[in-house]
Amino acid sequence: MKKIVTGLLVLTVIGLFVELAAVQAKKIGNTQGYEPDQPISFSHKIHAGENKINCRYCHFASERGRIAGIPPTQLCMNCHDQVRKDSPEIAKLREAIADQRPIEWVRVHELPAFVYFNHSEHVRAEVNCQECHGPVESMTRMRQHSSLTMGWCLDCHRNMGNAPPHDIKTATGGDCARCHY
Amino acid sequence: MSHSPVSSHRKPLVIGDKSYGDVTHDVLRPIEARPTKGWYVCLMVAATCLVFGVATVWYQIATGIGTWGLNKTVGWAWDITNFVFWVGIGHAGTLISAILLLFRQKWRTSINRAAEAMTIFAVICAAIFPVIHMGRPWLAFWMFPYPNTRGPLWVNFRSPLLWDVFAISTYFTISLVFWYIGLIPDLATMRDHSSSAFKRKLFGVFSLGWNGSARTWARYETLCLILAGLATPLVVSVHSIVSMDFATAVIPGWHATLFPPYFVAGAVFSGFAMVLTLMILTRKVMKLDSYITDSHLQMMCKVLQLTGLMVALAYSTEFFMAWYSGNAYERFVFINRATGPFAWAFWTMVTCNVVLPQLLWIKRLRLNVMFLLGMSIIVNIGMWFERFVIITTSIHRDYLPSSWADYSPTWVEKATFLGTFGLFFTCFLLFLRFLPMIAISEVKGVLHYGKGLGKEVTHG
Amino acid sequence: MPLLKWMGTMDDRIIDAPKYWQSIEGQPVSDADEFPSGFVEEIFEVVNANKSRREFLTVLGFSVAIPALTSCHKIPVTKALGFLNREEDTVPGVANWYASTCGGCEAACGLLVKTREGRPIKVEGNPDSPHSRGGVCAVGQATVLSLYDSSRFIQPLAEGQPTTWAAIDGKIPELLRTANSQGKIVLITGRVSSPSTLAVIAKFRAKYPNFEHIPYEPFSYSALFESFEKTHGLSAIPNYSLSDVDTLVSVGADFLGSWYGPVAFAKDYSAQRDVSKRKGAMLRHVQVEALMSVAGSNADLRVPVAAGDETHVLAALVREISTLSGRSIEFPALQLDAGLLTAVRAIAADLWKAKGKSLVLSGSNRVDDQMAVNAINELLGNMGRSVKLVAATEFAVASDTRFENLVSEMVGGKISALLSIDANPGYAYYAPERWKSGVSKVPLQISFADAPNETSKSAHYICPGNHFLESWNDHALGSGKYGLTQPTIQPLRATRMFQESLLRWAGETLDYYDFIRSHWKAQIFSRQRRQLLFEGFWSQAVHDGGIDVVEASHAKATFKNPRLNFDLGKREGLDLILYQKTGIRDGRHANNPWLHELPDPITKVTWDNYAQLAPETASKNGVKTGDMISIQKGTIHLSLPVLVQPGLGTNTVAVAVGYGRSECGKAGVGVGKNSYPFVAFAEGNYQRIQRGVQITKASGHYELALTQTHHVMEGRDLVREVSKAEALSTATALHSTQKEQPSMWPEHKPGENRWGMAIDLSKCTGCSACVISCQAENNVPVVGREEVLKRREMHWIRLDRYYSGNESNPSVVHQPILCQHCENAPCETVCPVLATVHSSDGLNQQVYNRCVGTRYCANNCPYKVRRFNWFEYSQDDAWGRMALNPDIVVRSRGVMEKCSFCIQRIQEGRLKAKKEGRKVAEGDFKVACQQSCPSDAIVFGDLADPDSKVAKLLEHQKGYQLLEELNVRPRVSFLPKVRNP
Repeated sequence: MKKIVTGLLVLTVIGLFVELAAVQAKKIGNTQGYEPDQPISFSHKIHAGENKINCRYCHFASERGRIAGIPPTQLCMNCHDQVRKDSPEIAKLREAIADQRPIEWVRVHELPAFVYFNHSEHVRAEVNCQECHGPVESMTRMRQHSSLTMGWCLDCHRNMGNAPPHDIKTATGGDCARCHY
Repeated sequence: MSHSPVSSHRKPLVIGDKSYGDVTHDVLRPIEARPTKGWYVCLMVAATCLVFGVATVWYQIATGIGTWGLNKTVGWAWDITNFVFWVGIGHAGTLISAILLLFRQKWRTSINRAAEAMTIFAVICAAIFPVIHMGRPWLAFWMFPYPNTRGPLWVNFRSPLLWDVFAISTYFTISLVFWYIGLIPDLATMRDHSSSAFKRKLFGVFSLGWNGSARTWARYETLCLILAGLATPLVVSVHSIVSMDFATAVIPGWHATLFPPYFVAGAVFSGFAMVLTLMILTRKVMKLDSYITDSHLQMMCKVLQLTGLMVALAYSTEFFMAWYSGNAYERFVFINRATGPFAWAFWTMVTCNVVLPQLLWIKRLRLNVMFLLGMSIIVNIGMWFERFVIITTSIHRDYLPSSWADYSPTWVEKATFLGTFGLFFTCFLLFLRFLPMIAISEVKGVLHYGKGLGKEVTHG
Repeated sequence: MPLLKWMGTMDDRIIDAPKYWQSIEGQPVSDADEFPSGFVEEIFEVVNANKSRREFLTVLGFSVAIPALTSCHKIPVTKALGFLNREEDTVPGVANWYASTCGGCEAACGLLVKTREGRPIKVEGNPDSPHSRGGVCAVGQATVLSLYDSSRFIQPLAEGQPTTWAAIDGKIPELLRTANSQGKIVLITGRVSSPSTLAVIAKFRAKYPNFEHIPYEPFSYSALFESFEKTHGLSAIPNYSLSDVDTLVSVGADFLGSWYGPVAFAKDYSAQRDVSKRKGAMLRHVQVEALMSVAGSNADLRVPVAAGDETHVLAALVREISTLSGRSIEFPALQLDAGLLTAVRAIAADLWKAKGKSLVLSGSNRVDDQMAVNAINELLGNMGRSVKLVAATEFAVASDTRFENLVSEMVGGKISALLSIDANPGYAYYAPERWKSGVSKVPLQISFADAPNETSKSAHYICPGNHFLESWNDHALGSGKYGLTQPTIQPLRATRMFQESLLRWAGETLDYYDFIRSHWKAQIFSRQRRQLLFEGFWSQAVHDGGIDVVEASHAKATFKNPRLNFDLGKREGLDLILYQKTGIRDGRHANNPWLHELPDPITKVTWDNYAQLAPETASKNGVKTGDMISIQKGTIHLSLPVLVQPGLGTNTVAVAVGYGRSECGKAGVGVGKNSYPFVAFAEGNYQRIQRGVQITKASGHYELALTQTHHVMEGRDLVREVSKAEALSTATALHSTQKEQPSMWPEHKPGENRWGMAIDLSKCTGCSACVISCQAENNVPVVGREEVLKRREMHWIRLDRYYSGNESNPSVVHQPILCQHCENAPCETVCPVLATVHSSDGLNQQVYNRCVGTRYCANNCPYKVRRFNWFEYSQDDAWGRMALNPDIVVRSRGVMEKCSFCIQRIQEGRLKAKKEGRKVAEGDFKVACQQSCPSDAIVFGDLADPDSKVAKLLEHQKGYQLLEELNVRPRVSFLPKVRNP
């Protein structure tokens, strides 16, 4: 009896370890929730949330190209020539332009370079920015909302019905080269 | 153990009038006594090779696989050759312990322990190559289906390389378990035999509280039989699967349905050659001539001869098929093998595996131990070249003449191969030093075999 | 510990390189250590020197991020830099195309330049260009790499000391004035076909009257140009056109490889040889030559002769033609053996049959030879048809005599100032000692070279010019056609167009851009009616990369019988012929690794020049490939490795020029040996063919880095050949012999598209433009000589070259081989990790980031098209990395790679269509090799669309698949080689 109990115990412990390993394995390289400090305390909450500025007013490139784009500093000045001129944060912008040094933002959403994700495609397909980037309009500081893993992409596309489920009977793992090349 | 048949016309398996005590004593002597100078020398040599090998592998992983002599046309050469070579060697062990057990071949008893150990070490050596031959070995774990965030992304179950992963790991596990189970009674003997409390504790743990009761024995033997049953198909499957790395490819010289049986025969051939080498050496060093007798060697010679002929047949079949198929590419490959830039390798192979082994027909030679030693080594060399010839001469000149290329190994490849020998012999020497290289209990079982004393044999 | 160092960043190895280029919005930390120290400072110097916004953007492209680690996870922080103020037309991650004109050689082909974030990364042929019509050669393709050559001058130098342009402009005019008073000021340039540049030079002359402009080409065409003056009384340059030619005879002119304008020739050539369109009138090409040239390898009839006999063949030819035409041309008796004579008679007869629809070319630099050619073309009535004479009013062409006089004047101390651009006599002049002594007597030397060379070495002032991709310029193309070069990037370094410098020193205030405009306004605008306002006219020209106006009237050419001399002196020893290799040409591109690693289309040798011998000659001298021989002519000798070349003229040794540079970037220094010293000045021109050359076997063996070591097909059905007749009759020979075989695997589900390619073997000339185009497009690494020797070159598309027939005069076939994208791909089944899989539109995809590098796929590939990264090849220098294409990953070591059918372009096309809500259509994109092919041998498209070009092609002229018996079902089909015997 005693032996059986110990046996069971051992088994459960091992089982737990395996489970834990599996969970950890899935966490490797996953940067979900990344929320770094930025050189300028820019708040999406104020701009996109309270002032209801359209995302694509600043991130215009998202309609045309692969990258949504950090807006040109001049674009900030379009408003901030007038609005809150005296704020120390805005001062940083003016300096940047003055000595021709671009502001070094800390990159939040970053895919590995072997992934060719194209914003314009998704914008055209009327995917809401929030679907991937989360409730940006409520973020005072930008945070990586989704996991941005391959599985995450595929889940969405499977729901859309335009990604083949992995068929392990044939060698075809799907159209890898839609994103990897 | 099972009843030994009473016999007056069979040769005894153990010569000299040994008592059970003697057996225990003889076998455990090398373990309990301080090791001989010879042993130390051997270990030094082996360990040096091992360290050198490790350093080389480190260098090669840090700099890139380009440190090997491979090129755009010849993508595999020494790496996979060595892999197949070592897996092949790894065959004798399980064959002896499993198949011969099922066939009630009593003579196996004095060599199976060492042979199984050899198997395990050989498979370890083999397993190294599929990993280090990768361009990015640090990603080798991608070969296993494991939970991941890529969709999930699976492995390719169509790829023979993947089959290898499973075949080899299964084979290794079974061999290891089988070996350990076989060790249990002897570990118990060592427990009872050893003086130091520590050892008694240690062996106590590992012998899983063996008490030698008839019931234990009964269970033990059933288990052995079951394991033997499990292991037997593996002996055949592993090398069949390895052969499919080539058989399923489109490359002329690789693409042949003959490969599975051909490779298995080859594996047993090389495996037994290696066992022979090791046995002749160890029985000399360890003074165990009375347990590993000349008749044992004779038995192994028979196996050698048989498998040798099988291999020879396979070679000729390959050539016949190349001609008979009428396939220009196939024909070219085989003409190129025998006459091309690697003809020397081909003819070395033929000489070592087909021509010289025929000398074993001559009894006088067969009884000459030194000759056997030489022959077994020659066969091993020959079998290495067989794999090299199959792999390299087939791909270096395949379909488009524009891409034909030659190949020559760099020091890195040579050093790596040497390193695996270092690993193999280091392990084997340590095994000789710390574990009974002969299955004491089983030998006791056949102690009176063929001595005409028809008395019940039980363990003592 | 190196291992751990990047085991940490294992995946990044594949990631970081391109991440840096993916956009200007972020660079991975790991790039920080890959910049040479002081790199950034340099850049900002450039900026501060001239703080223009556009310039700053180019700088943005490579500012460096600072590494840091965040507490929450171990992923290095990357900085994202936005534009300060965005250029109107630059959207991050979106390419812009600009029309321009190639500066790779004198041919001035039309280009389309692809830029990303203001960085040119690829040049392609401009289909609207009047003469090159969409093709670019390998050299043109490679020029984009030279732009980022790290050895280029960073700023002007005075006596070796860095200085500023202000200082230069303050000092030089002073010095020039004194020079002008003390002696003659000489400007040496290459051939100048830019009217504006000539005008600039005129301005300069006006300021410093004691001035002479001497164009100099090391591998000059001066005899060709002079000959027209003598035969047609007109100083002119020829414009050739094969568009109405049925019989083409070339005597030693490699018009498909390096002679005059290969791209333009190739366009017409392939069109004229298209049996499906031209039917019976398929162009017949006869090549009489000593060298086995690219053109020769395509000839229907090739007559190998000793180098010295090319002249005599011309003599015989002109005699035959003149007798046929009834006009008699005087010249001394022939020196030609009977066998050759009959051959020539036959050729002459053919030509005569094709009166007015033929063309004869010669590669000789003897005036008499070229006069003979003119006479032949005149008598055949080709003048004004296949040969058009363009008055040299807008050109300044090299004259060997003038240059020779210059050197004597220099030695005589008569030259007070020497200005040089695009010309490098310090390297290429046949008598280096004489040049040195001449140079030593010139008190003021100014070099405009953009990178160090042998001539700039001795210069007192270095005023580095721009790369043509940073420049404005114009080009006269003859008969009223003009090309325009526009900058596609701000100068990367503090350099300046040499025209700009001349204008400054001539006291002009206009910069060169405005100068060109004013010149065009005055000279060219008036010669058209389409545009009423100059602005419209100009922007039209800039947009199209050129303009087509009414030709300025000039004197008519009138032919008068020449007196010809064909006496080369008696035969003794061997004949030596100096030639240009397709890649390196005359040596000006010697610092371009792409071109060094480009396998010679014929010999397949990379990274070297060598002495070619015919098999017969080699065996007579007891040497074989790799043996060292010493070549001797008088006092000059050179030891080179032998390469036994089937089909080379007997009794001839052929050596490529352009190698053995001593002053250039690290890629070019000491590659091969300099053979220019064998050039001799005779009969008023630099002779590249010498008689009486001795060769002696020298000690030692030298391994040449070949990419193909086996040269025959072993009777395998790889390249199918048919005669014109067979091709015309519905020849079964053309049809695929294979019927569909059953397959073990389930068929792939047919997707929206089925990409496929057809390669016409009778159009492929082997020019190798596709190889470099692919290399540029797909970030294919250069591996260097040592690795090529180990058979590890990385090119995704290669040209297999096979010989058949007898050694002395084999027939040659070129077969482009790239990934065949098999439906039943052997590589796909064997990859254990699914790194190579089939896509729904039929592509065989290679997923680099999944590859673990077992190389099983490469072993199992019947075509051996897969390439493995044996080492970290991608670690290029910081400048070189700027040429990388951000739309495709740079592969790390340990990863397999191969042709992807330019998946990035397919994706681009697909996206374009998707945005416009339609299916991908023909012409939405072209793959790189197809785009650059000057002879349109490669057709790529959607097999699922019955109207696509490729589908039609395969439908009508049945193609075949390589190794179809394997039932791997390739997506690439070949159209058989058609010969016209």
